Amino acid sequence: MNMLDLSSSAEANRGSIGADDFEAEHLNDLLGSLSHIHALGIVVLGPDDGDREAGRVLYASHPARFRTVGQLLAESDDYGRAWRDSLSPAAAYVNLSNHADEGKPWTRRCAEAGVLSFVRVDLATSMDCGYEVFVFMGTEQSNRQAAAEVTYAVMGLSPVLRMALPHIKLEITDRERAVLRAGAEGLTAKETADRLKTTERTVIYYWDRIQSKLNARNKGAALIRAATYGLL
Amino acid sequence: MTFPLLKTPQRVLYVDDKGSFLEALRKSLPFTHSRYFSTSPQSAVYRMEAEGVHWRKLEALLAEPAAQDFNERRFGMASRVIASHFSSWSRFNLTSVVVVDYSMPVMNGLEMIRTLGAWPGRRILLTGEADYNVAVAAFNAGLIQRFIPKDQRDLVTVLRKACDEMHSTVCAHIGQMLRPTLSQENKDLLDTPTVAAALTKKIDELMWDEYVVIGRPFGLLGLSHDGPLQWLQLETTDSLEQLAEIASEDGLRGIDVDGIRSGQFILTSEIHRELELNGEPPLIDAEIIHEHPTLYCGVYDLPHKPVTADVYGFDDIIAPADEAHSLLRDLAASHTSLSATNIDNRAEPSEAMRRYLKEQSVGVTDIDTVLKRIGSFVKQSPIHRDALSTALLKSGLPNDLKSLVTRSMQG
Repeated sequence: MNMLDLSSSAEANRGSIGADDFEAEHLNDLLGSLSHIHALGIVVLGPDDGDREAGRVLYASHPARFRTVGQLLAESDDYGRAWRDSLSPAAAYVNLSNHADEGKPWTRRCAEAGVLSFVRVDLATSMDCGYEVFVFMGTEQSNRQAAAEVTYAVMGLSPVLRMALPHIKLEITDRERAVLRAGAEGLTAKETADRLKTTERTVIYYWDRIQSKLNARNKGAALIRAATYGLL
Repeated sequence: MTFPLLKTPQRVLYVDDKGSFLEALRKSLPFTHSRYFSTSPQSAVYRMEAEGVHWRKLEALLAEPAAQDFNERRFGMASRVIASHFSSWSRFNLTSVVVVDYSMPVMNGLEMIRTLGAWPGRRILLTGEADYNVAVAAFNAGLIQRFIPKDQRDLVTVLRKACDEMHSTVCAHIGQMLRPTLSQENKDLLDTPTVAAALTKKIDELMWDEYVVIGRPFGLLGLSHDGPLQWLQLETTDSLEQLAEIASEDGLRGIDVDGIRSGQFILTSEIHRELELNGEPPLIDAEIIHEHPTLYCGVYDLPHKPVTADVYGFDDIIAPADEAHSLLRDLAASHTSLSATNIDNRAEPSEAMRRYLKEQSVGVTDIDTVLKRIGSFVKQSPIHRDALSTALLKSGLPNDLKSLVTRSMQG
């Protein structure tokens, strides 16, 4: 809803640079493994600013023609937070022909791409945020078979996805991630420095960097934002 | 002498019922700081009461628990000191020394001093020959810190020296509040008399009139009468090792990292990040200002636009007309500080910083607060009211501000 201002689309563009590798490496494989159920494309949405009010943006899509579908879907109110808030299933399949979403910008775009159904798998993190994987298919579904296949494939890949996805939007280094983990355990700067074999001054500098990267006002907010990105 | 952790712009109040004596003092004392001469102890007390808000503001800034910096707030002491101290004219309104004549009708000097209550400054009593015993008793009771006979030879020189010393003492005293923000190593360093002397020398060289010591990152923020706001980063041999680590973490070239480690350069990335400055943090030249232990420093001109002494102007108040002028100047200053951002070279301050600056900009330098001061000023006497009306006519204030002033004069 609030995602079409210039700054967030600039964010999305910048993010897509890192997303290229991710798409080539992971989404292509995932799509390949689902070709027998006529999977046409994949879209991954994720948190915009580590804040539950900030909404979601497109993280990755494959192949290229699904990029617009992903952007339009991210801008819509469909699924995402509202879906999670209503405790709806984390894995679901939908046939577009008989669906209430018909006629929306993103479903029109889907129709143009020959999509008849899709499966959504939710990789929730925390604070009602998380990553949503949409797999679009060229056939209608009459039972849960395809949904089960997609969910199995996505969940199988989820450790890799969860590891890689936050880095599409954020440039968090491994050291910073280690500092965040230590902070989440309640370690002081001094204790963190001992663990990472560095000095207190450097750890404080890491925190400062983490807080500005995560756009957080303090350490507590930084930890929560890190959690919504799935960094912890 | 320990190194004062803070130095504020000097401001002195002189009270004597004899206008000719004050006029003589005004002419002979060097005009290097703000001065307020008053023939009426009652007006002087009003003035000091009005100043209370500025002292409380400074105290609130210094008292924000340092230990919570790291856990609770994104912005540390440096950001806060810039936002609420150096970007505000409030700090030019902190009288640290009062010089009061003992023998005055209506209210004598000691009676006036007693009304000052919790005011943290120092009190000097000027005495006549007959007042010696009273002065000694007041000194012993801790009411005054010094008494100077009016017939003292070189009175002006003695007075000037006493005021300067006492200003330093007051600054050192208030600066104590900053000690919890410093690490033990840095406290030990500043408590070393030769280090204190070396730093004082460096500050004189930079021609700073005022500064605040910052614990994390370690250094001083300060400025001369016409700016710019400068950051004096301090490093020891050990801390340079840590800074080199930060430099390599930041991806600096090996040759620069070695330059930091060997004491050639100082990297400013910590203050740069703390203040959310744009661009790459510069490497600045390091200078050794003390040996055993070795203390390095580097000076970095910050892009902030502080309220400088030159911009604000030193007060030199002796008549109601001067004070009226000073009040209208404060009003104009409040108006500008609300409409202009105090920082350039920063395309877009972060939301959090914007919120923080906004939070800091309201309060004692608020237009409403100054209008209230104007309201009570004109109530003092018809002369005060006339002085303000005249000053208002001559002032270049925008019409909307003028009508606000007129309304406060009536209310």
